[in-house]
Amino acid sequence: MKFSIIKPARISLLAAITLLVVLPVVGCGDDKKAESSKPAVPELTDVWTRSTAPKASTGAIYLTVKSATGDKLIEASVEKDVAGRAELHETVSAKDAGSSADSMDSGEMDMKTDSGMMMHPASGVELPANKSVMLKPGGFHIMLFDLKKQIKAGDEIVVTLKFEKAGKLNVAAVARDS
Amino acid sequence: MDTSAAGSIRLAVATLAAGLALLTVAACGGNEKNSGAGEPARLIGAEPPVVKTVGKLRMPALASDGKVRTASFVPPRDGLTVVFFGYTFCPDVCPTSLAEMRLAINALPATDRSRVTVAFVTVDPKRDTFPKLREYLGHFFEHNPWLTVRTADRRKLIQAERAFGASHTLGKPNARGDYDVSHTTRTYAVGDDGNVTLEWLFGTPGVDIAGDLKILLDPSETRSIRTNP
Repeated sequence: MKFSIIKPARISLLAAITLLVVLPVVGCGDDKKAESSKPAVPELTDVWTRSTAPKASTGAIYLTVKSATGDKLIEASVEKDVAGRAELHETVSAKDAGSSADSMDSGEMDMKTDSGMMMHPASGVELPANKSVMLKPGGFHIMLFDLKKQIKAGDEIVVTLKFEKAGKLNVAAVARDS
Repeated sequence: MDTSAAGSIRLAVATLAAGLALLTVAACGGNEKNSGAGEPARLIGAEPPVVKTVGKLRMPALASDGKVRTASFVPPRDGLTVVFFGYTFCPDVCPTSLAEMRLAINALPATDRSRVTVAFVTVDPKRDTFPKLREYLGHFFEHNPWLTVRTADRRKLIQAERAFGASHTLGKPNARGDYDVSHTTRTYAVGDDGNVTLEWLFGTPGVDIAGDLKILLDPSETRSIRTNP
């Protein structure tokens, strides 16, 4: 486990314990703790992006978000020098998405075949009141198209999130390899 | 600033972090086969439901030595090939799986790392050229042998997919010329007998894959696993 943005010397032991107790809970997508200092403004934690190959054209940003009053994440954008555009996407099982007629290309589906996963643009991410929602690998994510430069571990990308009720929020996504 | 009190706090924090990291892994690993103390090691990945022979496949591939040749998925003796079907335009599933595999391989003892060859089969040969694939694989597996398979012959690709039990579909291009790709997201381990020995579902943590790789690379462990369904 790596905490690149936290300087241990600067935080009290108590804060460290609180953070570390909360993190594993968030990690399982099963949030039982409800604590928010500013009710209407969505709380964002673990905003990150994966480092990319040198000339990769796509990337993804992940985060955990909680709104005390309930909200909907409806849009995301990044600076033009980072990527041409950003879109909310969801990775779903291809079976759930209903494979197109093109599937004749890929052979019959039988019990030995895994029909796999695919992505599609999402109109938004619902945020039920007081519930942590994770944008995570294999689920919702912010897809970056037409990357302008390689994302390296430690880089920070500012992403602007637009919420239905809370409006726009800027947050930095920290790049990591894992 | 760097007092001994701060030092002990740091130590406490590190200990807590380590302990909680373990807890998280235990809670999120999705491992129903967790072995108790004293029991033989168990695999997290699934053994294929039927024998999958992939040793006879011959595919055009670029290897980490920079050479394009006709290659098979069969690893050198006592080695493993881990095989993933995907495409480099993929922002989410493919980099996630490859990053977890990198983590798994890096967790192996140094002498075992080179026994694992990573094979990436592109299902999108139109966009994935060999130079692009070289950069992609080189990014994830700088210090490890890898192989990237690309064939423009769809029948050959589908033949390979069928042998593994994988599939893919390409959607219709939109106005920008982009198209959706759906593909099997599991990772397959191929042994030196040319058969698939284990399959990992998407989302299997690298630490769990590492555990499985250690078992698969240990001949005595492998034997006991095979006789123990």
